Amino acid sequence: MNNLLALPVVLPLLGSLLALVWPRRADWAGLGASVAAFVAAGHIGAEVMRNATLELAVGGWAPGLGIALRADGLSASLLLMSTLVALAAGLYATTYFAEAQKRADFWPLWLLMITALHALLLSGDLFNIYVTLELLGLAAVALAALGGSRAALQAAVRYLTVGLLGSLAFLTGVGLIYAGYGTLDMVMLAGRVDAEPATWVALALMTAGLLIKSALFPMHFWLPSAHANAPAPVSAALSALVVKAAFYLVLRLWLDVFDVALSQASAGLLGLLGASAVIWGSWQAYRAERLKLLAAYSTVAQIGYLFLFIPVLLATEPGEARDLLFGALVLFALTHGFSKSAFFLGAGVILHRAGHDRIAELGGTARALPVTTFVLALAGIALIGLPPSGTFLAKWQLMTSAIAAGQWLWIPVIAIGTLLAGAYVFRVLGHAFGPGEGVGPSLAWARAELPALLLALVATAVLGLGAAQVWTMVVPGSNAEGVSL
Amino acid sequence: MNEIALSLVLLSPFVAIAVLLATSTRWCLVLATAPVLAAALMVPVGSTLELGWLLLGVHFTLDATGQLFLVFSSLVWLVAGIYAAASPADPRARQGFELLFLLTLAGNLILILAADMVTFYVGFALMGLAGYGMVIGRRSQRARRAGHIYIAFTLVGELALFSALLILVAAADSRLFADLSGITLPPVAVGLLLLGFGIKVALPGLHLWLPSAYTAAPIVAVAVLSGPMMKAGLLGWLRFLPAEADGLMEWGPVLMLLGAAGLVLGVWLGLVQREPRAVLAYSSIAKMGLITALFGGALKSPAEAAPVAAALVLFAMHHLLVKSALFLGVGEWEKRGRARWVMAGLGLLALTMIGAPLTGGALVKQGLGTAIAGDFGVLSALLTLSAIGTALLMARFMWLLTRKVVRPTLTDSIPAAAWLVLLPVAFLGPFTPFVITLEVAGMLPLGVFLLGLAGMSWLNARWPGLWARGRSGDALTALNRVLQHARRRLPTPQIQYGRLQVALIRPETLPAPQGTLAGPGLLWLALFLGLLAATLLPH
Amino acid sequence: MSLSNSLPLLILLSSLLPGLAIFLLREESFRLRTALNLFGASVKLILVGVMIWGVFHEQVYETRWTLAPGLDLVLHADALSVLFVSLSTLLWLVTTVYAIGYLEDSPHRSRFFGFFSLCVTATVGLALAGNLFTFVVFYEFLTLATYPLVAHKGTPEAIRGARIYLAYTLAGGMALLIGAVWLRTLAGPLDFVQGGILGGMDHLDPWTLRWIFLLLIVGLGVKAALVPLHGWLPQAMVAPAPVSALLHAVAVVKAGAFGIVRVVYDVYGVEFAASLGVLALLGAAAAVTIIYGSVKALSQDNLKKRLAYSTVSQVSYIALGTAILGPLATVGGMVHLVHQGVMKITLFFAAGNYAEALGVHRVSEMDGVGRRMPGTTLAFTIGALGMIGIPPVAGFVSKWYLGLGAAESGAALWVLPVLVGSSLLNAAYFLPILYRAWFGQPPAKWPGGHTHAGRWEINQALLWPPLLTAGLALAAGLFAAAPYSPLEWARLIAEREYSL
Repeated sequence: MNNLLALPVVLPLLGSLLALVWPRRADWAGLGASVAAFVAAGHIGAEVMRNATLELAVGGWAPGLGIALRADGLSASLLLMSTLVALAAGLYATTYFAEAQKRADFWPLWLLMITALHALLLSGDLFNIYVTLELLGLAAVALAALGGSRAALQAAVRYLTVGLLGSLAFLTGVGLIYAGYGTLDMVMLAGRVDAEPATWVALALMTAGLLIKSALFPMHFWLPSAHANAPAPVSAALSALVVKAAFYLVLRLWLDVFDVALSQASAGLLGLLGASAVIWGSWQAYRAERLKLLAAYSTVAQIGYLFLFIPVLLATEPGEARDLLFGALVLFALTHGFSKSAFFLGAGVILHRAGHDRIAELGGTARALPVTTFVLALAGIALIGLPPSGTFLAKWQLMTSAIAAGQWLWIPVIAIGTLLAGAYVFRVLGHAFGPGEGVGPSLAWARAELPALLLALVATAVLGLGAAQVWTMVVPGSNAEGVSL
Repeated sequence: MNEIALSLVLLSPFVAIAVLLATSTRWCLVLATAPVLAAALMVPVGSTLELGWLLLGVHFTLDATGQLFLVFSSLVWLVAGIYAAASPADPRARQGFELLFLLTLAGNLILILAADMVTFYVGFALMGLAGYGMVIGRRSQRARRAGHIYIAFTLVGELALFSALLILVAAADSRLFADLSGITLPPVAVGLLLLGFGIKVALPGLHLWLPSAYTAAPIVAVAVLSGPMMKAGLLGWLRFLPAEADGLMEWGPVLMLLGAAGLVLGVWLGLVQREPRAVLAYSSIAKMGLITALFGGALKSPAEAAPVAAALVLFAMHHLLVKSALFLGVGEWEKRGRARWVMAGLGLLALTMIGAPLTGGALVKQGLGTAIAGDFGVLSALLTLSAIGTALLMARFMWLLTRKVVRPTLTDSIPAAAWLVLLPVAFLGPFTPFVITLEVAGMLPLGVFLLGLAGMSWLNARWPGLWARGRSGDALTALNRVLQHARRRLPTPQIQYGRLQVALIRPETLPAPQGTLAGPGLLWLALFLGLLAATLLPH
Repeated sequence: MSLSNSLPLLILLSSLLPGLAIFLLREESFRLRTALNLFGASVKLILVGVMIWGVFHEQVYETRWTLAPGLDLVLHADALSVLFVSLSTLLWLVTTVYAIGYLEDSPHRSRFFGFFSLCVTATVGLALAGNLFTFVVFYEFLTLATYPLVAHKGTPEAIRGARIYLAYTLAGGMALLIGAVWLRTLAGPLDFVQGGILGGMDHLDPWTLRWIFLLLIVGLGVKAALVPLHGWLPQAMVAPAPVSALLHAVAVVKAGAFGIVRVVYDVYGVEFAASLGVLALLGAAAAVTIIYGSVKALSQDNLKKRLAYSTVSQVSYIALGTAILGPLATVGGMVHLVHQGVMKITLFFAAGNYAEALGVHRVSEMDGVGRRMPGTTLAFTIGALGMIGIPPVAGFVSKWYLGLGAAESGAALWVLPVLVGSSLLNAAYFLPILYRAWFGQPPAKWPGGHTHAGRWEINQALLWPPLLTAGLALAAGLFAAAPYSPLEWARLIAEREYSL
C-alpha cells in the first residue's frame, strides 16, 4: 500500500515524458497526469490522517542507503495543495496559452517541476532533497522564461543565478553534515545531531541557501520581477508552490532535525526578518502599479508571516499548544498557496483581456469580468486574513501563541501587515468597481475563470470552514471534531 | 360601564381624526368635543380605566379635581370647536389646523384624566407640541415667529418635566400620582417641575412665549391656549406636588414670591399694551401669578392646604372660562368692529373677570377669600392687589376696544351664537347659578374699573396719544435687539490654526445655524442646562 | 440534526443561500431574483418566529462547528440575540421590498442583492454568535459584505466613501481581533454567558483587563460610530438609499452597538465591568458622541448627512444604556437597539423617496414636500418625532428607561443633561425639516427625480416600506407594555442578565 507514495512523483514524470514525445496531445497527457497525481495525493492524505506517517523504501533498501520516501501530515498536506494548484493552473494554462506550440513547450517543463516538487516533499534524505531542489529551481527558471519577453528573460536569468547560489550553499551544508554524522537520512540525523560548531555552520549554510530560495527579506530582491513577468499559471505555481518548498525545508530542518542545535536567538532573527518582510512586502505591494507585481510583493509579505511562526513555535512548549500552532502554520501555508495562485490566475485573465495589468486603469473590471473580480476579492480576503479564510484562523492562533509566549513584538507587526494587506487588496477592488472601460467588453471565459474561482474558494471557504481537518492531518492524535449536527 | 364612558372621552378626538381624514369635514371638531362634555357631566367621580398594554401601562381616573377640569375644559373646547368649524377657513391655515386642534384636545383630555405620571406627560407633550400647529395657524411672519418661540419654550418645558418625572419615578418607585404623597420629593425634581409647568402657566421670566403667541395666533387657538391649556400647568402642580408630600414646605415661599412677581409684572406690562389681545395676555400672566402664589401658600401650610386648593381650582376654572370667552369675544370684535352686542358681552365678561358684584367672579373670589382667611396675611394682600390690577387691566382692555376702529369683515352667525352661549355661563359661573351675593368687597374692583376707564379717557384727552404709545413688543424682542447689537459690535475672532485647523476641523463645519429655532433654542438650552447643573451640583 | 441544534444554522442559511444563488442570476431575471429574495426573507421570518417562541420558553438553540481545535464557531440563541435577529430579519424583508422598487432598471442588481443578502447573513451571524470568536468572524464578514454595497454606484465619491469606510472598519476589526485574542489567551473560550465570565476569574490582572476592554471597545466603537471613530459614517451615506437604511438601522452601526452590549454584559459582566471602572469610560464616550453627533447634525444641509450624524448620536444611546449599571438602563439601551433601527430606517426610506421622486437631497429644498408626498412625509414625521423622544413614538420609551435607569443608579447628574440636551438638539435639527415639509411653500418645479404616473405619490414598493416601519415605530411605543413588544423583550433580557 505504501507504494502509493511513489505515485505523485512517478505520474507527473510519466506525463512529462508523454507530453515531450507527443506534443499534439500534450494537454491530455498533462491534465491526465495532474488528475492522477491529485487522486494519489488525496489517498495519501487520507492514509496519513489514519496512520500518521507513511514510509516507503524504494527498491527495498533500508533507510540511509536507498531512496526513502516519507509522508507525514506536513508533507501530505502540502502535497495535496500542490497537486490541486497544479491541476487548476494546468487547466487554466490550456486556455491561457493560445498557441499549441506554447503549450507543447509548457507541459513537459511544468510536469517536471511538479515531479521535482513532489519528490522534494516526500524525500526523507538530504541529498535527494538537494537534487530535487536543484531540479525544481531549473524547471522553474525555464518556465519563468516562457513568457519570452525581454524582461521575463532578464528576470529568469537573475532567478537562475540566485537559485544556483542558494543550492550551492545548501549543498555545502549537506556536505558538512555528511562529514560530521555520516548519514543524510533526516530521521536518523535527528537522533544524532549535537549542538556543536560544525552543525551550526552546516545549518547556517543550508538555511541561508533556503532563505534565498524562499525569498525572505532582504533576500527577496529577485522574486518580484521573476514572478511578475512569468506567464500567469507559472507565476501562480512559483508563488504558491516553489517558494513554499524552500520554506518547507527550513521548517523540516529547524523543527525536526536540528531542533536541539538551535537557540531562541536564531529563531528570533528569523522572526525579525519575517517581520521586516511582512511590513516591507506589504508596503511595496501597496505601492505597486501593476497587479502582478502587487501579487509578487504580497508573496514576499506572506512568506514573512510564515517565518514569524518559527520563533513562536520554538518558544512554545512541545505539546498541545505547539501542535495547535504548528497546525496553524500549515494552514497558513496552504491558504496562501491557494489564494495566491488564484490571485495570479485572476490577474492573468485581466492581463489577457486588457493587454495590461496597470491597477489605476482597471476601471470597469467588475462589470466586464465579474467572476474574475470575485476571484480577486476572495483571494484578497485570504491574503488579508479576514474570515472565513484559513489565514484568519492561522493568524488568530499565531497571535494567541505569541501572546502566550510573551512575544508581543509580533502583534503590531501582524496588525500593520494585515491593515496594509487590506489597503492593497481593496485598492485593486476599488479601481475594479470604479467606472471605466479598461478591460473591454463583458465576456465570460469559463475555462480560465473557473479554475481560479475554485482555488479562491478553497482558500477562503473550504480551508476556513474545514480548517479542523488540517489539524487532524498535521497533528497526530488531535481530536478535532467535525460538525456536531 | 364607567370604563366605557372614560374610553369614550379619550377616544372621541381620535374618532374625529379618522372622520376628518376620511371626509375632511370640519364639523368633526364638534363631533370630538360634544361627547366629551356629555360624558364629563355624567361619568361619576372615581371611575378608573387601566390599560396595561398601552405605552408603559396607562392609568386613567376621574377624581373631583379632574372632573372640574374636564367639564370646564371640554365646554371651552366645544365652543371653540363650533367657532372654528363655522368660521370660514383661511386658505393658508386650512391644512392641518383641524388635525392639530384635535390632537391638542386629545392631549388635554389625556392629561386631565391621567392617574400616572407618564400618561400625564404624554398628554402634556401631545398638547404642547400639537399646539404649535394652532399657533402658526395663520402662517403670517408674526405667527411663525410666535410659533418658533412657543415651540422652543414648550420643548424646554417638556424636557424639564421629563427629567423631573424620571427622578420622581425613581424616588417613588411607582408611576402613580397616588404614591407621591408618601415620599420626600427630591428638590431637583421640584425645581424641574417649577420650570416645566412654569412655562405653561407663564411664570415671570418663563412667560416670554405667551404675549407673542396670544397676539399672533388665530383666535380659536388663543381661546384654548389661554383657557384649558394654560390651566393644565396648574393641574400639573396639583398632581405632582401634593401638599401631603414631604419636603414641599420650603417651596411654598418660592412659589409665592414667583407668583407675586408674575402678578406685578403682568399688571405693569399689561397696562402699557396697545392691543386688546396683548392686554388679555398680560392679564393671564397676572392671574396665573396670583394662582401660583396661592398654591405656594397652600404648600407652605399643608394643614390648611385642602380648602385652599379646592377654592383655588374653582377660581382657576372661572378664569379658564372667562378668559376663553373674552378671547372669543375679541375674535368677534376683530371681525365685526364695535357692534353693540359684542361690546356689551365683552363688558359683562370684564365685569365677571374683575369679580364685580352679582357675577360668578365675585363668588369664586369670595370662596378664595374665605379659604385663606386664616394666617395667610400675605395672600390676602395679594388677592386685593390682584383685584385692583385686574380691574385696571380690564379698564385698559375695554378702553382699547372702544378706541380702536375695526372695519367689519365677516359676519357669520354660528360662531357668534356659540360665543353668546358661552357668555352667560362664564358671566355667572356655573357653580351656583341662583345665588346672588351682594358683597362690599366686590365693589372695590368695580370702582377701580370705572375709575380707570374714566381716568384713561381723561388722560387721553389731556395728553393725546400718551396711552396709545405703549408697545406690544416683549422682552424677547428687546433681548434679540441687544444681542444683535452686541454681535455687530464685538469683533469676530479670527484665529488662524493653520494646518491644525485643517486636520481637526473639516471645512464644512458650522455654517450659520439652520432654522429660526436656533436663536432662542440655543439660548434656552444654555440657560436650562445651567439651571439643571446648578440644582444638581449640591448632590 | 434536531431543530434545537440546526435552527440557528437554518436561519443563517435562509439568507446566505438565496444570496449566493442571486449572484449567479442574469441581470434580466427580475422575477426569479425577486422571488428568491422574498422567499429567503419570508423563510427567515418564520424561522425567527419559531425561535422567539422557543427562547421565550427557555428552549436552547445552538449550532456548534469546530473550526480549529479550541476554536468553535458557535451560533446560539438567547434573549438578546433574538432581539437583534428579529429586528434584522424584519427590516431586511422591508428593505428588500424597498430596494426592489428603488433599484428598478438600474444596473448590477444581481450583485447588489447578492451582497445585500450576505450583509444580512453577517448581521444575523453577529446576532447569533455564541462566543467572542464567532462574533469577530461575522464582524469582519460584515465589513466585507457591506463594502461593495457602499461602493455600488461606482462613482468616484462612492469609491472614496467605501474606501474610508473600509479603512475605519478594518482598523477597528484589527483592534477587536487583538483584544479578543488577548482575552482568549487569558480566559479560555469566550462563550457569551449571561452575567459575564470574567467576574469569577480572580487571577486576572485588572489593568490587563482594562486594556483589553479598551481594545475591544475601540474595535466595536468604529462600527458603532463612537466619537472620534465615527468619521466613516457621514462618508458612507453616498451609498444608495436602501443601503444607507440598512447600514444605519440594522447592519453595521447596530453591529457595533450590539457588540458593546455583548462585551459588557456577557463577557465582562456588567457589575464586574463597573468595578473595573471601564463603564465610566464607555459612558463618557457615549455621552460625548450623543452631543457631538447632534451638534454636527444641526449644520448639515444634506438630508442624508444630517440623518447620518443623527445616527452617530442615536446609536450611542445603546452604549449609554450599557454603561449605566442597573436593569432599567439595560432595558433602555436594549430597547433602543430596536427602536432606533425602526425609526432610522423610516427616515432613510423617506429621504430616499424624496431623492427618487423629487430630486430633493437637501433640507433647504424640502419646502412643501409634505403636500406633494404626504405618505412619505407622514412616515418621516413619525420617525423624526420618535428620534426627538416625543411620546407615543418608540424613541420616548427608550429615553424613558435610560433616564429612569440613570436616576435609579445615581448617574442622573450627567445622564439627564445629556438626554435632555440631545433631545433639544434633535428637536432643533428635525423640527425645522418638519416645518418646511408641512408648512413650507412648494416650489413651482422640483429639482429633478423620476416622475411617477399613477394614483400614488411614488412607486408603491417605495411608499409602503416607510409607512410600515413608521407604523412599527408608533406601535412599538404605543403598545410598549404589551406582550412580545420590544420593551417586554428587553425586560426579559434585563431580568436574565441581572438574574432577577
